[in-house]
Amino acid sequence: MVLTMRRKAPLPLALVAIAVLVPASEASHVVVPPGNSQIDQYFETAPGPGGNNSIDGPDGPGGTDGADGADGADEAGGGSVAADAGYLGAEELEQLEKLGGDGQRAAELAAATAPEEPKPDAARGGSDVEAASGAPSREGLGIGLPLILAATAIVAAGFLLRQRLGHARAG
Amino acid sequence: MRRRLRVSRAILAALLLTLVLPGSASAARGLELGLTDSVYTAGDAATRQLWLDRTVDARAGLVLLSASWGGIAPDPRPAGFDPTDPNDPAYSWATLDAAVQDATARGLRVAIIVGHAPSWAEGQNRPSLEEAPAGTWRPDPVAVGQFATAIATRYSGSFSPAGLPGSVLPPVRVWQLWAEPNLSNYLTPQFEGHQPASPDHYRQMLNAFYGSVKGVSSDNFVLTGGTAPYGDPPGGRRMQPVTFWRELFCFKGKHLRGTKCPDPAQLDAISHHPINVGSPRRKALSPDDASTPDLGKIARILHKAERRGRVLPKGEKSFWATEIWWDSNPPDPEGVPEAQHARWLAESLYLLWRQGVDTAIWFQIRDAAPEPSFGATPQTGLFLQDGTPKLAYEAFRFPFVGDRTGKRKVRVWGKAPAPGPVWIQRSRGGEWHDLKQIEVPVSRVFQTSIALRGKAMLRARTDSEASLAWLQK
Repeated sequence: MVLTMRRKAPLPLALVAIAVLVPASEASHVVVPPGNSQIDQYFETAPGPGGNNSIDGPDGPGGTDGADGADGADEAGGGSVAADAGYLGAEELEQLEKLGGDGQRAAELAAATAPEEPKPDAARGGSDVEAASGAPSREGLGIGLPLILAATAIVAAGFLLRQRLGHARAG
Repeated sequence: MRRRLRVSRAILAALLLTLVLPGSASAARGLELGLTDSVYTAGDAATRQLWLDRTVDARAGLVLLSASWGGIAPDPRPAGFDPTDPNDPAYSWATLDAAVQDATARGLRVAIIVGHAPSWAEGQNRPSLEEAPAGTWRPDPVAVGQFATAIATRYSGSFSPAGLPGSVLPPVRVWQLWAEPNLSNYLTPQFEGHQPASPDHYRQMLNAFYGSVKGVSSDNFVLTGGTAPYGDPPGGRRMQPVTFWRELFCFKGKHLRGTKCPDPAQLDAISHHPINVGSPRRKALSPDDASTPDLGKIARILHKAERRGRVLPKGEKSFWATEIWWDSNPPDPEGVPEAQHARWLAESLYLLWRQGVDTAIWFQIRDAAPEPSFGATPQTGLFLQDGTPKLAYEAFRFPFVGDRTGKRKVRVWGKAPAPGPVWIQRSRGGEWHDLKQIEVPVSRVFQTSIALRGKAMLRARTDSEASLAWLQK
């Protein structure tokens, strides 16, 4: 059994490996502090599977993941940070408005802030977990990743089913 | 039996006292807040003074002034020039003198950062300016020490400048050497091939600086340059800060294996610049980079250096954050929304304090003009360019933060305008209601816990003013 498995494992395993490794290699990207897309000192290079590979800044020739000079950095830092404008309900907002100036200010704060990170934006790094796990950036596989994963799962399930049926017949 | 009764009564009395007395803030450790901005050394006195006044209004206790060595010293070096003599006529101190005087006159504590070598103090075999920007190439440690003697003597508190007999310049006690010594923008080379080069050279500069500054007055306090938060792999233009500190304190590898250290670094405090690409809670992706929540990576190295005698003089060193900021929108369309800017400011102060930082410096007091563009210039100020205060100004004056520590428990933290009573309040039914009263200590920093389920709007209030509201989830 173990021997049979070993002989037949390469195809599904290879698919799994592709599914895991490809997005990881795509994950390396440059993140700049919001609003400083052309300042080349403070960008963060996300480590790829082989560690940090880029030694050029956003303006440098190498860039990261095809980030093309300042344009790439602009893209990375572009767009405003998503504000959670709908975080407070109408009733709460009404209550805050009754508080006068303080309430207005609080409402403004509530509208523009939330304890968590803004909505995931891979270009900005998203949340800790997303960034650290190498969530695909806009240069990532897009719909390709779920398709590969689904195909891998189907192939693996089919393989296991075939194994079981084979054993049942042999038994 | 009687004794047991006495003990029981004492316990009962203590319990009753805790019920009757208002809660006391548990945080005695302070957090000094400072600001840094090139406007403080502006040539125009009216502009400089206006912004120093606003700095006082913002309740900053300290300003970090920039002293460009290459701008103050003559270049080229003239014959007969004595670099240790602050009265040497070839030095140009006028702008810095005025800034130190104006800031001190307003009760601000002054710190000075020295950087940017004159060309004659750079090392040999200088590469192109593209590879090594002006003032960055292997600054001569001996010359660093000589300039340190001159500048520390000038602001020793007993120095009379030439041409102004009888007048004495105010003292400056806090001295920082070099901005972001892990970046090629300020110090080159960072690497020789793939081997770190800047930490060793910086250590020599720092030790010369330390000896000279302390030689002028043992009351002087020497601070390292603040490291930038993100770096490149070996061979790049930016060294990762954790690598830089490891090398500076003669350690190798993640397990901090000691290497030969014949001349350990001398300092009173180390500094880092936790400048984030996201929220203040966002950790750096690389283990050798360090954003706001990652100061422990650097503190670990420092503490091991303290234990192993790889930092001198012996004793615990303090930790400063000499540059924190985010760009805001408005005015920068790519900055963070103004209210979030304020929130992140307060939250970063809290997180830095929690990690042991005792001085935090925000960059800057007012936005830079967007010339040539917003992307190329910082709009990080507490004020817009035209002098309109942002919400960040209020967050800086009276920072207040909530941090959920359990389903029913929230830790609140802040820095009150003054010692004394502070009320933690919650907004309910359109009104603010007291949740807890605490007594804020002299340090003005308070931290306490409140029972709170679900989301709520919180704030802190004194007799005369309230913090910005904090939305707690």
